Amino acid sequence: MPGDAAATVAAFIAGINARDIDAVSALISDDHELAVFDEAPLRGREANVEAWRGYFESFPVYFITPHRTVERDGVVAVLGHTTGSHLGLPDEEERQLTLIWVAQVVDGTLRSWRLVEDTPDSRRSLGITAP
Amino acid sequence: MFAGVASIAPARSAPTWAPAALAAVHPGVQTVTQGAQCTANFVYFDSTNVYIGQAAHCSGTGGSTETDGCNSGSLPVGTQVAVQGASRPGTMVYNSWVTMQALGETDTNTCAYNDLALVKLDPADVGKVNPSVPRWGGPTGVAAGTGFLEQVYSYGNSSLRFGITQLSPKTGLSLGSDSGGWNNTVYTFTPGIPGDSGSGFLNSTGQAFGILSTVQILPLAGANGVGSVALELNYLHAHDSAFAGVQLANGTEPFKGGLPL
Repeated sequence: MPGDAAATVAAFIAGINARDIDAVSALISDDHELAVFDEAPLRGREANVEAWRGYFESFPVYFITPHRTVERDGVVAVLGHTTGSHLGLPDEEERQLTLIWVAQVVDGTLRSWRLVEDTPDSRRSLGITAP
Repeated sequence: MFAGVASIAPARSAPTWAPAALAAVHPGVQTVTQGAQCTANFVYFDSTNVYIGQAAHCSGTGGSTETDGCNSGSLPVGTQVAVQGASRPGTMVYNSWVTMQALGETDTNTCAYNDLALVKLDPADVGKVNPSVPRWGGPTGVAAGTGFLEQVYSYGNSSLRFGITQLSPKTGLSLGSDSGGWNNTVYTFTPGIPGDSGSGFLNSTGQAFGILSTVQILPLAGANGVGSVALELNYLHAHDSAFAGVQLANGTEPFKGGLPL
């Protein structure tokens, strides 16, 4: 149904924001792929769960704040910002660095979670319009 | 479908509010009704009184699964309610569950989602009130509902959140209005907790559209049922003449949702 994929992504973000590894793990598919900008992707559920567990331990106040969400054919794009990340910036600086997360949702779990630069081209291609 | 609140309740001037930065009583403070903790949604007023809103079910006498306001037990109107920041208890003067049961309401959606109680603040505390939603500002009016994938905003100060203030301002995503306009299904980007019940929700332009009624854990954490505050106010105005002039108070602070706060 329309909205199901976006709801799944919202729950995934809620799990990240709550540092709830069980909630995050439950929403990661077996063939999950994490792609952070141009870095080599991290593949597989187990590897990604361990990666999130380590990230939560290293950055215990990491927080995703979405500004805008769109959904199209099971692909959900979220424009937003983070605080408390590995960037180590003061919150007021990090909040200015918007980015886009793109998730492919299949059967209620995330097959992929990609971080994309927030550019006009990215917004246009993903259908993100101004709020 | 959604009669304008202003058409039923003649507008009157708002009281003089305390400065937002100094106000001890505002949307999002905790309320405690005979031991049950909830979160206040918005500030309301009429020509003589100032009220703070909470969910009707906050004074329910049944278990957490008793959510049908037409047949679930409730403490009576007149029950005292402790309000965070107030020096004296407030008094629950309206409860939609009590009113619906007195009227014999049978509409399924109304019974399920009409979940508003008004707590009249003691005159000694009125000067401590500001209606602005902390962090987000607003409300900027009352909205009939939400659109599909509309960004929404809320604030709760529940102690059940263990004092993690980062989790007090909440954003979320609405899947739109359903159930005859009475409900908005909202997914928040932080999980809800029972103490959030009664929290107010703002739409993407800062208008008040709803009051958190149900916090769901399944099928996905973060799913919330948010009742329509416009319809709840319409019901209040239509069925209890003593409150025909009650209005939701707009915030004194500009709405800041959508900005990188």
